Amino acid sequence: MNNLSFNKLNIEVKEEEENNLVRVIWSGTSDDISPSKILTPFLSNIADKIGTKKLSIELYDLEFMNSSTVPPIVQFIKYCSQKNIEILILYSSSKEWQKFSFKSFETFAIVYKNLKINAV
Amino acid sequence: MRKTFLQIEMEPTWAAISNIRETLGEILSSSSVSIRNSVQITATELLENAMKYRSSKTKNENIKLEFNFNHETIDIKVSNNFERDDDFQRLIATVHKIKHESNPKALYEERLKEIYDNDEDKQNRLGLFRIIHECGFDLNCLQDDSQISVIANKRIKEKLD
Repeated sequence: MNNLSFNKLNIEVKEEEENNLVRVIWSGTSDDISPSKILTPFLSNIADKIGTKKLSIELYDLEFMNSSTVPPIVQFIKYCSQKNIEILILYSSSKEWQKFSFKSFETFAIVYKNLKINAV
Repeated sequence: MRKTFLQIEMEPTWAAISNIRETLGEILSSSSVSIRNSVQITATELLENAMKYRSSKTKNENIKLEFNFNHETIDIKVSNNFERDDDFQRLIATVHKIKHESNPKALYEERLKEIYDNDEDKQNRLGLFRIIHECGFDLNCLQDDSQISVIANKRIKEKLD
């Protein structure tokens, strides 16, 4: 699986066979006017290729995102849930904006039991 | 006691928004990370809204940002010319809804669920909810015949030099 570098946003995809895990590690800034055009196909491709591995969405190094970045992440969670992929979302407890933004994703864990959201 | 007032006329380009965000970060470099981030997020969301939802007739007109910061309050005001189209009505309705809801978290999560449930929902319309939930600002809007201003205001307890 490929990495993504898009304007000031970087997403590294690390496959860990020993842990049966794919890590999707975000860093930089996501402030494009329409990030879903790039992010949605990129993230869907990960879900299509992940097989039986677990997925870790690691957002703690993301410095800034605009609200347009949220829908492609939400749709990625939904797409993974339809494939019954086990998801762990990791955000930074030291970044106040991340606590508000990503802790609220727990609302999806009510309907999708294979979703966990943790602060690091 | 330090006070800051900044007024910027922004060309309606997407790149200009990140420049303003960086400028605000520099101005607030001695403030807490929490205040700096909340101002940067709020200004970005208001400017992006002004850019995305302006009408074709006003798309080349500048957008004005006013930033007022003192030891008690932060005010961020974004003004642009407008037409009374669907986006304008939706903006007014959203601000009205926000003003009459005491639980910003509930509004934010309600919008997240809508995005989750509807794949075809291409407009995220999350920015204003993010401002009240994540950044702790109140929102208001003013309008006259040709201009609308969306105002974010927050009381703070930061000790300034």
